[in-house]
Parts: sequence; C-alpha cells; structure tokens
Amino acid sequence: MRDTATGKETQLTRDGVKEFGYATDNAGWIHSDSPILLWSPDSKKIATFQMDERGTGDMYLVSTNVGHPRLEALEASRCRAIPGSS
Amino acid sequence: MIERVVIDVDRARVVRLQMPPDPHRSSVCDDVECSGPFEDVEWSADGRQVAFLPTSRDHKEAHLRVADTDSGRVRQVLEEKVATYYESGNDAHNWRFLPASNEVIWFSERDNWGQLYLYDLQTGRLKNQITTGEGTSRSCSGWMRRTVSSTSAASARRRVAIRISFISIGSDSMGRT
Repeated sequence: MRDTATGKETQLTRDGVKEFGYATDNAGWIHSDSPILLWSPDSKKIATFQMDERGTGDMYLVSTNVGHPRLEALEASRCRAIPGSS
Repeated sequence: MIERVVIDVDRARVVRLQMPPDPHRSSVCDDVECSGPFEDVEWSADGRQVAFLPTSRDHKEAHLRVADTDSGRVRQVLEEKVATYYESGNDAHNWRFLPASNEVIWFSERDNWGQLYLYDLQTGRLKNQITTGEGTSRSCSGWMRRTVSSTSAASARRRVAIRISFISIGSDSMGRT
C-alpha cells in the first residue's frame, strides 16, 4: 500500500509466494499487474484473497498480427486451472 | 482456488476467513473480477462485516455469506441452487447487502424471469418478492438505505424490440412508479 500523499509504502502481506500470491489478477488471458480487492467504505480494510495456483500447468497464447505470430508462454501462475488440475 | 482474507491496513494484519477455499469464480463471469472491482463482495458501512458470494465452478450453486472482519468467522445467509446456470446480474452483481435494515436484496430466475427478492439478513428467510411479471430486473442500480427502496432497470420483452424501462419500486413491492 502506498500513501498517495506522502509516498510512504507499507507491506501488508508477507507469506505470499509464487503461485500462491495475494490479490493476483493472473488467471486467464485477461490479466494485469493490478491487485484485485475491494476497500471498506472507511478505507481501513481491504477484502481480497490469496490464490492457490500450485498444481496448475502451463498455457500458451499465440498472437494474431501481420507477419509471424508470437508465442507467449504463460507462467503456470498465469494460466487457468482446467479439469484435472488440483 | 482462492482463500478469502480481510486486511486491516493500519495494522497490516491479515484475517483469513474461516472457511474452505472458494473456486476462482463469481456470479457474473468466470473470474473474480469482471468489469468492476473484486466481484460479489459488499462491505457494511462500518467495515465490521463483509458479504460475499462463493459460486461453484459450474455456476449451479451460489452461497451468500457474511464474515466478521475482526474474527474471520463466517455464516451463511442463503443459497441458490439451479439446474442450469446462476448469474446474479449483467455486468455486475445484482444482490445488495443491507445490514442497516438487516436485509438482503437477492436476484433469482426461479419464477422464469429474473426478479428481485427481499430476504432477512439474519434468518435467511424470504420476506417478499420485490419485482414481478414478465421482464428481467437487469440491475439493482440504487437504493435508499432508510427506506430500502430499490431502483431496477426492468427489461420488458417485445416482439420486435427489447425495451428497457427504468422503474423505482419499494422493496415490499408496493409503490411501483
């Protein structure tokens, strides 16, 4: 969290790890580096989640563009769990 | 799967809600963020409670739950189970958490059209159906906390065109304007 007035940053969570991170927006082809959360009306609390993606497999995106397509290997943490994933 | 948490930002304290992990789903799309913020989550004004709606991966079940944000304790208010696919609204969820009046506005297609219903937040009992008739209540776009009146855009079916009419309706289904 960054205080927009002072620029001071505060670490809110400490046990997030790769594929088990907080507020992650990385499950599927729609993904971003912004956290998914909802502030309480008094701005004292945040509702969010820690997403467990361990046990999911890799997925790939192929671009549609003029010329040769680009193959983007999505990290496991960026793919959507499919039937059979734990 | 997601493990729901509430973070007290001043104390950097993480409260994990006391429940099993939920599928990465919402009642609006196949994600927890559709076209707005974290979907299917509503706060009480004082921040002491948060309501949320775990949805099954196949969208056949949704469970409205309320958590105490200090203790992480969770209780279930009501659930919706359908044979096909439960969606609580178009673009955004259509249910409303109204702790001030101890009520919930709930969206269901159980009478064949999407309608709004009023539930008791504490007991989970149905108080009354708010909207009726042919046409879907597309969005519960506003309400007044004191009088608990909701405004819904009801789409009425027509042979050629789909007309969307804005109506204001009292939550006891009286006072339709």
